[in-house]
Amino acid sequence: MEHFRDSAAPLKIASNLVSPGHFLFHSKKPSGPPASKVPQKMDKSQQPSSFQQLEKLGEGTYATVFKGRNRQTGEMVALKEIHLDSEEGTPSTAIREISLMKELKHESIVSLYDVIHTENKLMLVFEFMDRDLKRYMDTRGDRGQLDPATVKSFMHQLLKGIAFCHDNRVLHRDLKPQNLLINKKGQLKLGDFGLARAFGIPVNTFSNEVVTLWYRAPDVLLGSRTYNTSIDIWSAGCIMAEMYTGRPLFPGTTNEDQLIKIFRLMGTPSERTWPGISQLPEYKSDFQIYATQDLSLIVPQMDAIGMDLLNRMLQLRPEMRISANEALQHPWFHDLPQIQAKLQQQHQQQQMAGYGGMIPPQPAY
Amino acid sequence: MLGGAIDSDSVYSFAQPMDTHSTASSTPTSIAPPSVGSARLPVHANDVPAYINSRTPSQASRSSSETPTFTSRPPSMTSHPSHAFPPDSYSSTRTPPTQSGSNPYSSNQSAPDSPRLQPTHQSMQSVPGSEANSPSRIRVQSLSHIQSLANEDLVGSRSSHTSGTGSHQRQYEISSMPVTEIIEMVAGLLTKITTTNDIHHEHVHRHIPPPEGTSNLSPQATSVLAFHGKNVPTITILSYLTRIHKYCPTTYEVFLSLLVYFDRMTELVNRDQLDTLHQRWDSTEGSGSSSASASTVSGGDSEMRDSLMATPPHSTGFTAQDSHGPNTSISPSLSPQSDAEALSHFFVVDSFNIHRLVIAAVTCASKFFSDVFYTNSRYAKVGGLPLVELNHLELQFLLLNDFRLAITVEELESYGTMLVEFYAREVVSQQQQQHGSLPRPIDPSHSDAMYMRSRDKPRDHAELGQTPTPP
Repeated sequence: MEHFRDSAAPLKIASNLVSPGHFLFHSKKPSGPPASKVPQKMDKSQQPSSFQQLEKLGEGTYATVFKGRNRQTGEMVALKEIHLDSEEGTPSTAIREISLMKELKHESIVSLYDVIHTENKLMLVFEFMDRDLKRYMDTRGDRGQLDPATVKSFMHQLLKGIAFCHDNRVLHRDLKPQNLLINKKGQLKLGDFGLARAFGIPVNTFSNEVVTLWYRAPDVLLGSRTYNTSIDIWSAGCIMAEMYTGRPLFPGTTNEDQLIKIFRLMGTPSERTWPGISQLPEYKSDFQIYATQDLSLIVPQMDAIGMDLLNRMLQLRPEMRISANEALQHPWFHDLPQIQAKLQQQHQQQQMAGYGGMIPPQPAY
Repeated sequence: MLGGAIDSDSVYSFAQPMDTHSTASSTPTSIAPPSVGSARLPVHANDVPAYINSRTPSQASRSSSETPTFTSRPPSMTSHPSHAFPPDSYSSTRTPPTQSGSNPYSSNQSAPDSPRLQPTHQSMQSVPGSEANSPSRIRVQSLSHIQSLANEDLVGSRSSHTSGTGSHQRQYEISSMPVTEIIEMVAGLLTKITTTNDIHHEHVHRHIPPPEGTSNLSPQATSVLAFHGKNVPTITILSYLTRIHKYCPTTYEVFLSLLVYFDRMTELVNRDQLDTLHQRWDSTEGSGSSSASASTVSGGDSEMRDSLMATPPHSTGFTAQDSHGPNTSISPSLSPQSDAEALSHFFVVDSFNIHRLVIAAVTCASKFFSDVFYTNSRYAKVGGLPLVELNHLELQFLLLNDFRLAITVEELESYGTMLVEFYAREVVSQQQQQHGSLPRPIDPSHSDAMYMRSRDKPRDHAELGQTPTPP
C-alpha cells in the first residue's frame, strides 16, 4: 500500500488511463466523443421484489408478460420476463427492444421504465396498457369493426408513433394489431420492438424474414433486402383497412399465397408499373395477372378521403408509398380535433359507466 | 489447469486459426442452434477449431479473476466432444416458432406469428451507401488509400492537431473499406490503448480482491471485474479480431462500435468511481469521519473527469492529503476499501481484459446491429472461452452500457473519421519510420512483436510467464 501514501495518486493514475476517445478525439473534441448518449447514471437496479407480480397477461416465444404493481407507488405496470437461453445468450430481440426503447420516448410508443436483471432472466418493466388493438376490436367493435372516428384517432396515433421511429432511424418491422396497445384513455401506442432495428448505416445486412406475414410488404415478400421505412407504412395500411372491416385485409397462408392475395386486389405488378421488380429474388415472370380492384369495394365503410390515404399507403412500389410524416398531413386528418373532442366525451361516459370486461392478455409487450 | 485433463498450452499461441487442423476437430454433436438462412458461410462451421475451455461450468461461472481462461487445448489435439455445428443444422427452411395456443383470446382467424430473428448463417448482403465523394467527405477505399492520403498530408497529425472545431472538418467514410482493414485500424487503436494502460496495471489491478471477497463489491465493480483475466492471452488483438471475423463474419459497424461502447463504459463507470474517490477525500478532510460524506462534487471533479476521458494527463489542483483514515465508508454500495482498491474498480481497457471485452462486445453488437448473428455457443467457441462465461460477460457488458447499444449514424461516422485519422497518424508514421518505404498494412508477425506482451504470473502458467516487454 505504500504506493498510495500520497492519496492523490489514484487520481493521478486515473487521469492517465485512456479509452478509445482519448486517442480518437483528443485533438479535436476536448470534451470527449460527440453526441454521445452517455446516461447520467447507471440504473441503480431495482430488485424483482420491487414489483408485485399479478396475473399472467400473455406468453410469447421468448418472454412471458405479467401484470404487476409497483410496491412503492401502487402504479400498474406490465412485467415482461425474458428467459436467458444458454445456447443463444441474451436474445437479440431483448437487446434490440431494450436498446431502442430506451431511446424512443414518445407518447405513441409504450414506455420502458426499467430493466431488472438476474443471472438467468431479464425483467422489463413497461407502462401498463389495457389491451392490444386486436383484442380491442374483438371486444369493442361491431364484429370487429371500429367506428370511423376511432379509426381516425387510432390511425393518427399510429402514424405519429411510426413517424417518430422513422425520424429516429428505427424500423419497427412488426406492426400488426397485436403489437399496438390501447389504454382506457383511448391512446394507442406501439409495442414490441423485438424485430426493430436501426437503419441508416451505409453497409448493412437486412433480413427479409421480418413482419408478420399478413402485414408484410410486397417488396419484402419478393425477397428485397434493401427495404426501408416504407415497409412499416404498408403494415399501417393493412391495419387501417382491418380496423374498418374487422377482418385482416390480406390473410395469406404462405409467402406465395400472400403475394397472390395482394396482387388480386392491388393488381399484378410488372416491370412497367414497378421498374426493377424482375430483379427481386422471389419475382416470377409467370405470376397470375390480376387487374387492379377498387379498394372501396373491399372497405365500403371508408370515406373517399380516407380511401385516398389508404391507397397511398398500400402502393406496391415501395418508393411510391406515402411517408409517415406526409400521411400525418393528409386532409383526412384535418377534422381530427373535432373528432378527438367527441371521442373524449365518449370515453368519459364509458368511464362513468364502468369499463366492463376482464383485462385481456397482452402479447405485444 | 484446474480441469487437469487438458494440456495448458494457450490456444492463442496459435497465431493463425488453422484450417489445416480443422478436420481433426470437427466432431459434430447434436447441439444445433435454431437457425434460418440458405447460404453457407465462407468458412464452414466445422472448421471452427474447438477452442472450448476445459473448465467445468461451475468453475467457469466463478469470478474470472480466479481461474485462468483463454486456455484450451489446440484443435489438433481435440478429443472430447466439441461444439462444432453440423452443416445440416443450417437448413434453408425456417421452422416457424411453435406457438400454437399462445393466442387463446384471438378470434377465429388468428394472425400468424411474428417472425423471429434467429442465429443464422446467411450470407452477407451489402447495401451500398449512397453518399458520394465530396471535398469534405472522402470515401476511403483501403488502408493504402489512407496511406496515400497521409503522404499527401491530407489526413493525419498536422491537420488534425491544428484544426479547430470551427474549421471545415473532413469526413472519412469507411463503409466501403474491406472489413479486414477496418479491423486492422481498430486493432491498432485498441493495442495502443492497452499498451498505454498496461503501464499503470500494477497500480490499477494489483488489488483485485479475491473472489470470496467480491460479495460486498458494488454490482458495477463486479461487472467490471468479470472481464479481468489473471493472465494476458497470447493472441494479439489483431489476430483475435481477425479470428472472430473469420468464423463469425459481420459488417464493419460491429467492429467500429466496440470503440464507442468502450468509451461509454469508461465514462459511465469511472465517473462514479471518481465521485467516490473525491467523496472519500472530502470526508477525510472534514474534522469528523462521517461529517462531509457524499454531497459535494467540486469543480475540480469535472475537470478530472474530462482529463480522464479526453486530454493528456495533467495534474489538476488537487493537493495530496493523507487520506488513510481507517474505514471511511463512503457510499452504501461500496465496501470500506483503500484508495488503491478503489482504483481497481475503474474501468480500464488493458491487456488483461481486452479479449473478453472484445468477444462480449462483438456478441452484443452483432445481435443489435445485424440481422445476421450467431449463437453464443459459436461466439464462445470462436472467442476461446466457456459458453457460461460468455453468457455472463454478455450480460455484464449490457449492464455496463446501461443496455443502450444504439449509436447514432453521426456518432458512428465520427468514430470512423477519427479512426482513419488515428491510423494515418500513428500506424502509418510508425511504419514509415520502420520500413522507410510504403509498407503494407500491419504484418501479423510484426504486430506480434510489436503488440504482444504477456504478464502471466509464472505460478500458474510457467510456460506463459514472459517478462513484460512494452514497446
